[in-house]
Amino acid sequence: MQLQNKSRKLAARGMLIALAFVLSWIESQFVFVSIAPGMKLGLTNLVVLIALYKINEKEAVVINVLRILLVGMTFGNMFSFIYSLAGGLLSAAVMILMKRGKRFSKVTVSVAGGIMHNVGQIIVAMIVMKTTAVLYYVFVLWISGIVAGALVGMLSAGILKHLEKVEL
Amino acid sequence: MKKQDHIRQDVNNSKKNSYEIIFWIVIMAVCVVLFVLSRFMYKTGKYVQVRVDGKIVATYPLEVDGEYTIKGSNEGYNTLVIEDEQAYILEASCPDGLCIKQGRIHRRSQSIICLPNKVVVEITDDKGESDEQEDVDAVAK
Repeated sequence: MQLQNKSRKLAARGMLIALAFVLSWIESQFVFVSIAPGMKLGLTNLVVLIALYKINEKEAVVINVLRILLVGMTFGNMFSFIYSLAGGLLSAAVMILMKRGKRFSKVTVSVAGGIMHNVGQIIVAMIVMKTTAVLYYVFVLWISGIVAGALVGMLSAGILKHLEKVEL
Repeated sequence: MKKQDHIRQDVNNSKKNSYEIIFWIVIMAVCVVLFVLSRFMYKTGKYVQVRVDGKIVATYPLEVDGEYTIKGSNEGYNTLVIEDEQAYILEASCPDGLCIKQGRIHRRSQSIICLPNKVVVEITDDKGESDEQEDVDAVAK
C-alpha cells in the first residue's frame, strides 16, 4: 500500500515536471523578441501554482527548479537559463508569500507571480548587460505579466477545481 | 449550521476582497506611473551609444545617417544603421539574429541588445564618457 502511494506520488511529480517542460517549449516559440532576448511569458507558473496549492511549497519550488535546469540543458543557453532562474524563483517566492497570507485568490496570486516573473528577468538583464536601458520595457513587461498571470491563474483555478478529489 | 457557514464564508470573502482591491489598485497605479514614465520621460534622444561588454566603444549622433560595424565579443559583429533619426541592426553574426528583430529605436533609453556579442545599442541624450572631458576644458578656459 505504501509502495503504491509512493509510486503514485512519483508519477504525479514526474508528470508535473513533464507538463512544465512542454509549457516551457511552447513559451519558447513566442519569445518577446521585440523587448529583450530571453524574456518569457511565464506560462510554467501554471504548474507551479498547481503544485503550490495541491502539494506543498517545497515541492513547487523543486519542480520549478528542475524544470528550469532541464530546459536550460536541452533547448536553452546560458543567458536564457539565468533569466528563467531569476524569473522563476522570484515569482515562486512571491506566490508562496501571498498564498501564506491567505488573503488573495488564486488569480491574484498568479498575477503577482506573472509580474514578478518579468521583473526578475529585467533585473538580471540589467546585471548581465551592465545597463539600465532595459528599464524602458518595464511598462510593457508589467502589462504582459498581468495578462499572462491572469490567464494562468484562471486556467489553474479551473484545473485545481477538477483536481479537488485527486490526490497528488 | 449550514447558514452560519455561509455567513462566515461571506465575511471571509469580503475580507479577502478588500485586500484584493488594494492589490489591484497598487498594480494599476504602478502601471500608470510606468506608462507616464515611458511616454514622457523618454523622448527622442540625441545620440546612439554602443557598448560592448559594458564599455562604451562608440557614440554616433542620431541626426546623421550612416552605417557602422560594431565588433562584439567572441569575434562577432553587428551592423548598425542610423536612418531618419532611427537606429537599427541591419545584419549580425549571431545565430539567432534577435538584435535584428528588435527593430528600430529612437526614444531615450530604448535599446537593442545582442547577448551573444554582448553588444548594447542605446539611445542617450549625452555623449557619455567623453562629455566629462569637455566640461573640464570649458572650466579651464
